[in-house]
Formats: sequence, structure tokens, C-alpha cells
Amino acid sequence: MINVKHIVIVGIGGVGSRIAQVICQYLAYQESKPVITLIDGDNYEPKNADRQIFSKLGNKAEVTAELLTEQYPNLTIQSKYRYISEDNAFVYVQEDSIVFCCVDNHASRKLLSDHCGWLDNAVLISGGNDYDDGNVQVYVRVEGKNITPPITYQHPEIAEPADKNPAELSCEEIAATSSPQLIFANLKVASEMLNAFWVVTQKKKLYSELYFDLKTGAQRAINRKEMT
Amino acid sequence: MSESADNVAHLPVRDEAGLSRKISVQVGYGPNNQEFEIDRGNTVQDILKDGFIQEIIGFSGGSNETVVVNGDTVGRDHVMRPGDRLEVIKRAGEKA
Repeated sequence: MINVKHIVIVGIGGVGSRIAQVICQYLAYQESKPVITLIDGDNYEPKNADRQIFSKLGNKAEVTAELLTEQYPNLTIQSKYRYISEDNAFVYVQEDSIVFCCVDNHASRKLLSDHCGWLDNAVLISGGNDYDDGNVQVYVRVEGKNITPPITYQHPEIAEPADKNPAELSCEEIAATSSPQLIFANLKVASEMLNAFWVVTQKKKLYSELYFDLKTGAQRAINRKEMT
Repeated sequence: MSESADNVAHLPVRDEAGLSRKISVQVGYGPNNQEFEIDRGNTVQDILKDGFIQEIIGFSGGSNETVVVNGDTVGRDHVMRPGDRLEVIKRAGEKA
């Protein structure tokens, strides 16, 4: 579908750190080896140990990239100690990228969706969870056309986010936004985002949204068409 | 105050009018549709509060979910018409 040159993982938390691990393991044994970039402005702290795996404290992107480079020396893995923002999105997310959006705020999701909308060839795979349910959205652009709708489409909570990009918040404000999360919900989101990656890169049939509910075991995928 | 013909058509029907009290609507999620009978004049909120829609979409619906009828986003006070297709779009998860 697109000639993938870059894989960008934005947000290395409970979802992004799992995706980074598995995508590196997968790509290490594939012919094609796009450059992998991990982006996060946050640091691993002891309190993260209930949902995340890390070998030492420090910036999440840097610590994870260092660990994965040791494990998979045949891959090129970069780290960016930054929150994604309007000032750096155009540098980190370029043409022919697949972006895993694993952030914990809708403002950054909107930023990435808008940015990918400016690119001719890009895929945005965005995931998120509440405590025990969640979703994955897949925004595909090929040759300047939307193959699936942007993740803001029919999602006013993303199109008009009530929250702020963490790059605009103080450390105290960021700490105040944290809420309890279930590790199983994180794993489910990560797994479905990786599956979406596989579908986008290996299969012709696409879905644009997928929802799951851990309580009921329900899961549904939709190929939503953008209405103009 | 007189009501427009359009509004009258959506008021609950009296028996003497000779029309069915029930109308058929579609409740869907993505490509899947299921037909339901509801009371004529019911609003989106009337349907959502009954809870059966959760059985179709498979998810618990919050009060702030986006509701789409025939492809257009509508408010909770939207009056359903015969043959309408209603879809509740679950809010995206925020955390990760």
C-alpha cells in the first residue's frame, strides 16, 4: 500500500512500550527494515512498574531505544526526548511513515491526525483505552487521498479536545492528569494496533475503527466511510 | 400555537388516527444493522435509556457518545422517523 520508510511510535507508556518491543521483534526478521523512532518527553518512574517494562529510570524513549538496540542490533532505532508538538511533528513524521499514536491525550491525537492529513503517503494507527474498554483507529492516506477517514471524523472528543498537549503543561499539571489504568486494557490496545499494522502492510482490506470491551468480551471493527 | 405539519408527523400517534403506535428503525454498528420497533415520537434519548442498544453495539454507552442518524450527527432530542438508521459511535479511549 505504501512504501514504509519510517515507523514512528509516539508515547512510550503502557501501550507504546509494548508496541515498540513487538514491532522490533517482528521487523528484525523481515527483509524491509524501516527506521524506528520512539518519541516521549516523559520519564520512567518507579510507579510505572505496574504496567510498563523498563531496565532503568530515565526518559522513556531513550531507555526503551537503548534496550531494544541491544536486543536487535540489525535495526536502526532512534529516540526523541520530546513530546510531539506542532513545532516538531513535521520533523519526526515525514512521508512514507507509519505512526503508532500511543499518547494519553486527545490534543496530541488531533495534532498527529491533522499532520498526517498534510502528507501524501502516511498511516496513523491511534489507540486508546479507558479503564476496561478502548479503541483503535486507522487513518490511511495514499497519494494524497484519504483511504480511511481521519481519526477526528465523527469523534468530536478528538476534533475539539478538552485536554491539552503535555508539551503545554507543567509537570504538576501532567501528574494531575494521571488516572488508574488496567494493564490488560493496555495490552489489548497494543495488540490491536499491531494487528492493524499487519493488516495495513500485508492485506488489502482495511478497517478504520475497532472497539473492544473487556467486560463483555465484545469487539467490533468498522470500515467507516468519510462523508463529504 | 399551531405546529407545522412536519412536527405533527412526529408526535405520538393517537389510536383514532388509524396509525400504528410503533415505527421500525434500524440500530446499527458499522455494517451490521438490526431492526427494532419503537414508539412513534421516541427521541434518541428514549431509545438509549432503554438499554437495548447496548446489546446491539456490544458496548456500554456513556452519556457523551456521538449519535449518528442516517449519517448525520444528531442531538439526544432528535425524533426518530420510520426507517431511520441510528448508530452510536463510542468515544475514543483517552489513555494509553
